This record gives sequence, structure tokens and C-alpha cells, in this order.
Amino acid sequence: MSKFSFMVVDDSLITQRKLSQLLEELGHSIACTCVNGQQAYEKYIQLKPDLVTMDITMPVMDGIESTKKIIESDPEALIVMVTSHGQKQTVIDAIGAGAKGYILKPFYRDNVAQTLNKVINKYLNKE
Amino acid sequence: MQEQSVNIKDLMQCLAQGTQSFLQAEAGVSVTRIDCRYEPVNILKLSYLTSLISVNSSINMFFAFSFEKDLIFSILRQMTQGLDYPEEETPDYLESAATEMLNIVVGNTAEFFAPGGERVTFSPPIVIQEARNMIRTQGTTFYSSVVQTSQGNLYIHLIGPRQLFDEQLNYLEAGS
Repeated sequence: MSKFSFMVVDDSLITQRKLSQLLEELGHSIACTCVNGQQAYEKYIQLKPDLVTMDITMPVMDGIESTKKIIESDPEALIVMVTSHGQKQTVIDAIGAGAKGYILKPFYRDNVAQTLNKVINKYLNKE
Repeated sequence: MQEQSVNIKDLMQCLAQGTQSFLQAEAGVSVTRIDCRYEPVNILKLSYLTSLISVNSSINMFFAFSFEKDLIFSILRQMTQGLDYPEEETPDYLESAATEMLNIVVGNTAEFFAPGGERVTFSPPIVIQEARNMIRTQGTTFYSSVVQTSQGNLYIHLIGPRQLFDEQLNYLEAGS
């Protein structure tokens, strides 16, 4: 599988580090990490990573709002939500905002790899 | 939004079960006893470290997980297995462990707060670092359960309604 650059957005220090470590173990690189949705939007414009993992509940700007803003600026942006909020309405909101996938916390290597591979194969490995 | 009533017994059991599952599966901590209490109490005793989150839907409440010291350090060790960090950053990682556990347990019970499918939102969790008492004021209600583990106790507190805190989740002292 090709290596892609990721932006990890989560206000939890432990989750941010564990997810970054897992993505690196899967062969990807971390373009940057962000602690809120506003920072994610600004960094996305600047760095244009291949994929973004996005928490939902964060201070300053939440993940749904940030996803909407990133998609507005780049309709091709690939964002996967990684959140503890499994409510159906929240999933609908995230997909409606433009997210391409949804991973429920606590996350595990297999389900992270599976969800990301689906997104990568559908949008990045098209040939 | 119209406030709905909540079945405290079901809610406390749901949270206690979620807490037990998390502790055993994610933190490697054995739960020895769960003491769910369904009667309101007047004082909440906060332990070494407390994480707090608000849930907003047709039901507006605060939830707090209050950890005894040995327990939160044990959870931290398990949650950070394989991660290196400088010792001086331990307080930051402790806070992260306490807030993330609360976030996951309460977040995974979101459907409970929205039986009709209405939208549920959560505040970013915050941490209270000192052991202290919270005293019930007029119009507020406290509920408390204890999860006993091999590493110490975890107290689950429900606080409702939200008027006991300001918008930054700072606790407003009784009478203030």
C-alpha cells in the first residue's frame, strides 16, 4: 500500500499520539497534529495532507464545523471522523458535512486500517 | 428545548456498565464491586482527579468521573503503553487519560440521551485537580455511584441541571 500523509486532529493528547503512532506503523506519515477544528482548518490550507482524521468534540471549533470549512475550501479533501460519539444523528451530521468514513473510539489497529484502506482505495488508489 | 425526565436507575446502570467494560478492556483494571445509588445526595466528594463533561439534548446534565490516585495512574500506564513522554509531562497525560475515558464512556451511551433520535452534543471535557466537596444548591440534583476496582475507586457523579456551572464549566460555589 502506498504511503500517505495524514493530519491528526484531536484535543486528547493520548489519542493524538496513539493514532499518530498507529498510522506510522501502517506506513503513513504525519504531516501535523491539531488540537481543535480551527487549527485544523488553517493547517489543512497550508499543508494539504492526503487524509485527515478528525475528532468531533473539541474546543474552539468542533470537528463537524471544521470538516464543513475544509470541504468548502477543498471539495476533494478526505476526512475520516474518529470519535467516541456513536449516535446515529452524529454520524449523519458527519457524513453530511463531507466526511468519508467514521471510526468509533476506542479504536483498534484493525478497524482503523480497514476504514482507512476503504477510503484510500476508493479515492486515492483509483487506477 | 423541553427538558425530558430521565430514568436515573437505567442511566446509572448504563454508565456503570460502560465504565466496567472500559476499565477491563482498555485499562486492564478489574472491577470488584459496583455500588449504584439511585437516591439523590447533598454532597459530592471529589477525589484526586475529576473529569467533567456536559451532555446537551432534551436532557441537560453534567457527568463527572472522580478517580482515586492509584487508579488514574494505573489507567494512565495502560493507556500510554508504547508511548514515550518526558516525566514532566505526566500531569498532561493524566488529564488526557481522565478526560478521554469519560469522553468514551459517556459518548458511547449517547443513544441513551436521545431515545427519539434527537441530536446530542457534548462539551469538551475539563479536569478538576483537587479533592474537594461540591454542595448541592437549590434546584440542583446530585447522584453518585462507586465503582470499586483492584486499583482504587472511581466515583461516577451525575449533576443536574447545568446551572451549577458557568459556560467554561467552572464550578459556581453554593450561594454564589
